[in-house]
Amino acid sequence: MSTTTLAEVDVDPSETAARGKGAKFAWISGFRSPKTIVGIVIVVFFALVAIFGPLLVTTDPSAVSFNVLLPPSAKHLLGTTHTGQDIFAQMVVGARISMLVGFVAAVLATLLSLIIGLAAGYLGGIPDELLSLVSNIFLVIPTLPLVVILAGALPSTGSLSITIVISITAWAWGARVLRAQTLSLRKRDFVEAARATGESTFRIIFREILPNQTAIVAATFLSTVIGAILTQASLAFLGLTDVTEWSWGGILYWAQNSSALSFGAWWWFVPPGLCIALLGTALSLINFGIDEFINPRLRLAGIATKKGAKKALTRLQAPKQPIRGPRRQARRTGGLGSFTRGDVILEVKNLTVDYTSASAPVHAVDDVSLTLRRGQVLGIAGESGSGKSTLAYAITRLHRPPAEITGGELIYTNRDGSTVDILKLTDRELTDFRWEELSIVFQSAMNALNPILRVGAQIEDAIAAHRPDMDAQGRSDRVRELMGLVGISIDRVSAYPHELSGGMRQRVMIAIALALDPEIIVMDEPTTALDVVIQRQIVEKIMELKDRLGFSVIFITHDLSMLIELSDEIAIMYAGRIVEVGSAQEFYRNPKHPYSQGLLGSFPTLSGPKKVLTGIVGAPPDLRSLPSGCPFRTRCPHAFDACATIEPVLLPLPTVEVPSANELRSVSCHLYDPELTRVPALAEGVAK
Amino acid sequence: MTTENSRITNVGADMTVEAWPSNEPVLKVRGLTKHFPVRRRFLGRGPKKVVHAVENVDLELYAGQVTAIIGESGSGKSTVARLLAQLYVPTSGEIALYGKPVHVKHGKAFRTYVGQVQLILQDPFGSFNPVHTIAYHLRRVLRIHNPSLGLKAIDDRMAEVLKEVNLAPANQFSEKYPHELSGGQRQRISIARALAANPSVLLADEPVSMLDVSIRLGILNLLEKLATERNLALLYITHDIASARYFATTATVMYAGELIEGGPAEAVTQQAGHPYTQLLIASAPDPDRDESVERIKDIGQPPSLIDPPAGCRFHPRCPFAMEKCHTEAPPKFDLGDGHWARCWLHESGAAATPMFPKEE
Repeated sequence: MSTTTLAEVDVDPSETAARGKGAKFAWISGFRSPKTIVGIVIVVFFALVAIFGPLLVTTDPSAVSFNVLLPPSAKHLLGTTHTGQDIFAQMVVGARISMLVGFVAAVLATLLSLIIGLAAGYLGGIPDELLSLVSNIFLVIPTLPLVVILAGALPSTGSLSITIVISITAWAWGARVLRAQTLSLRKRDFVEAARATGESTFRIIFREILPNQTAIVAATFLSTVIGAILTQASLAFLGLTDVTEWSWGGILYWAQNSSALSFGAWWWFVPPGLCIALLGTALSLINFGIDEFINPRLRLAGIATKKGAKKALTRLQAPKQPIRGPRRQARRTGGLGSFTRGDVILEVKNLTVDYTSASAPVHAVDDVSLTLRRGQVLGIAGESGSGKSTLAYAITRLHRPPAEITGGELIYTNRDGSTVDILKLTDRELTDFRWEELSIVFQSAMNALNPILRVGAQIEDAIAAHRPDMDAQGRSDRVRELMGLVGISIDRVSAYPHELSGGMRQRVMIAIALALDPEIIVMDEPTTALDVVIQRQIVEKIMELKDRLGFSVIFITHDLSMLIELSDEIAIMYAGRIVEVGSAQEFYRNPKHPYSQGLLGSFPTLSGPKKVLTGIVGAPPDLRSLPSGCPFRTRCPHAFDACATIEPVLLPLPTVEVPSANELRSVSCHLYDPELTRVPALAEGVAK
Repeated sequence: MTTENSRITNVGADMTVEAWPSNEPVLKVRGLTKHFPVRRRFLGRGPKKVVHAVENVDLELYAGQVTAIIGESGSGKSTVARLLAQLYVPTSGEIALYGKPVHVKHGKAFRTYVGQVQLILQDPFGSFNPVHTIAYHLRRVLRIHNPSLGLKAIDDRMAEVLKEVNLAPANQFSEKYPHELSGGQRQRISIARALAANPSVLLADEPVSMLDVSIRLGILNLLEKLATERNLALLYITHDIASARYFATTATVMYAGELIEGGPAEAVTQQAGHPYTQLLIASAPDPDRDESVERIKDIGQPPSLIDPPAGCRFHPRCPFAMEKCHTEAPPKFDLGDGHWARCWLHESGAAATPMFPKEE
């Protein structure tokens, strides 16, 4: 069997080429956000004023005249001071020093925090402890008094000294954040992978780690700029700088000294304040856009959403619509009717769950019908993106936006034979229904225990919430009984979750699920995160309890071999649809759908002869861009022309295909559609 | 330092892969041990505590063959891979590449070594830097290990390795960012990155466990093909004993930092000699299993590696534990045809009686 055929085929070449071209200029998209553009325009304006303004202003800002304390006019745009100096000229000339101090101090402080943060984070050990100690000391000292003291002690009060003082006091926060980031990045797999390729430490720091911190570096830089401008203004205001050098702070100093406030000369102190505030706002606006600008993932997402989503929408809808009507009708009447025999406890009818966040809705669960019988295990198998977890959430109505149930029914049959549609329950009724009749164990559940509560108390909480009239003694007895049931020794009742192993925590979750004797337990990958030995213990415990207590189970997993072992009936999900349903043993002996055959052929076995296995070509599909017709056809070895045009639906197998008369099997595949004869490929496929 | 460097740099020059006899291991490990210090409290007293992550591991990797290490989480199997990749410094023990002992930590010697021994990590999502394109990652490896190559030659080599992992045409993948590719594609690129260094040993740490079921075999078959075509010595680290049977020539089982059984993969998985291996097999999902045969029952859970049990580390969980197991660590017992197990049950005399329910 040649493995070279196993190339990845899910890439559309034309689309890739287009995207590749787009990616080169994609960084520009960071500037597309209106907020960022406004920010940049303002900053550029101030920068231009600072650079060219002083050359263009003809009035000497220090020249005194007799036009004292004039309000703004055409001649003096921002009025005059008490000595008749032109405030507009002072503002323009002052912009240079303020901006220069701000940017230079920010550059120095950011460099300092980069060097110290990266060194401490990457080197670790003693350098880290020393550098962290220094930055922590700088962090706890109140900055302004320190600056005041430093500035006061300086021999020179020129802008250069002020800049240095500001940078020395402003680096600590950035260094701390960068150190923490470096620490976490250093342990990431891609850094380890780079080391394993023989990359030098220098390049690892500057080419692997640093680019991932650009957003933080930029944010640190931008906030330090405005911090430095403010600090400079404060120092100037306090008269600690060279007040003969015009800056925005210097203007404020003179305004304060000359009691501008009491003269009501607002035009004197408002402009500098306003400019500082405006510049600060602009820098914050740029900060918003910076993340999108730097992260390639966000960058492309920004471009993809509008154009790509539209394209996906047309692709999704166009080829499917015409065929849908008649096919689906056929299924509703004849399709699963034959399954509704025996003691049915839950019937999922034509359930559709959409994700509506993107501009095109995505069918995560597409018209799914299933039947669960009392005391039985219904296994649902599927890969990532097959919709199996969405289905689990939808059945329990625990799905959250953007997921939304857009159609179907969930018919639950009570012990007395009466039925109720779970989808029509009010929130209040649902709360009672969930846990009393139907409970859930999720994959991440074992991490869902509250770390600060003892496990016994957490089991008790579930009981107390639903049985308010049960007394403390009754609850405590029930907790002990449940812990015994799931096989946790009673003395662990007062243990905290972290004191238990993963397997034990999952047992606690099962105990909580069992607390109110539910009729159905939905289990979504309950053992996936556990080791095989522990997984086996848990599965055996679940089966033992099921036989003893008589509840029914919907068991969802990607592990088909385990599912076949424990299920009575199996449903295979692909791209949000059920592609095959049948009894587990029959299914295992004779899978019908090419996807089922491929999936079964993907599990090496421990017993029996060793055979060459191939898996399935390609990768699971992206629900946003499914192929037309059958969603599996691009990976299917038996696909023929009808598969690209007609969407198959789940239909009972023709009796010729069914080995035993009792076998109920439905398959969603054109190979078994008598109207679309294309039989030859079939025998070969099944044999494999 | 300099003598060591020269010894290592010689490896590539005077010893080609072809010239090495195929019955000699390319990478040979003796008594490999790694203890991680446990962080003590400030001014902590008492004896220094360590995690016994890997203890006294012997291993041989042969050209063109797949050797598996099977173990559960925390068994130390990934630490072995990192020790062999020289990302961790061993506490003791010896690693020999082409018969020459290796002690490298950084610098040129390290580069030369990793040029020969490449590591593939488990997580295809995390092992690429999100801010760099695929081409960046591949070009860097090519540049590091072939400093004299020109830009054009590097890009040609990049296209070649991408083709080798069935990602063609190359430019469809190379200019993308990692997040634009599927898990399977990324894992193929991980393999391409390892191949770019032109290694003779490939260490694959759970290369498929994070991938979708239907694409796992594609990756395993690809690795097998590469091992054969490039005559690579491949170490396959896994928790999935069935895949080890499928994929590996030789299999070893690791428990609590020690290798407890080893031999031909078929022998280890079909006539398991150690109770822990039997437990692993009994626990693995298998629809073909004969349900009439009683399964070995598990008691307890893996021990703490800070203070591992005396004697055999499995004895607190072992249904067959004897007096001796509590005090003396079992040596390797030969079970024939290169199959061995560290279990006192195989001591001459004890082995005569069929102890295991699953044995035939």
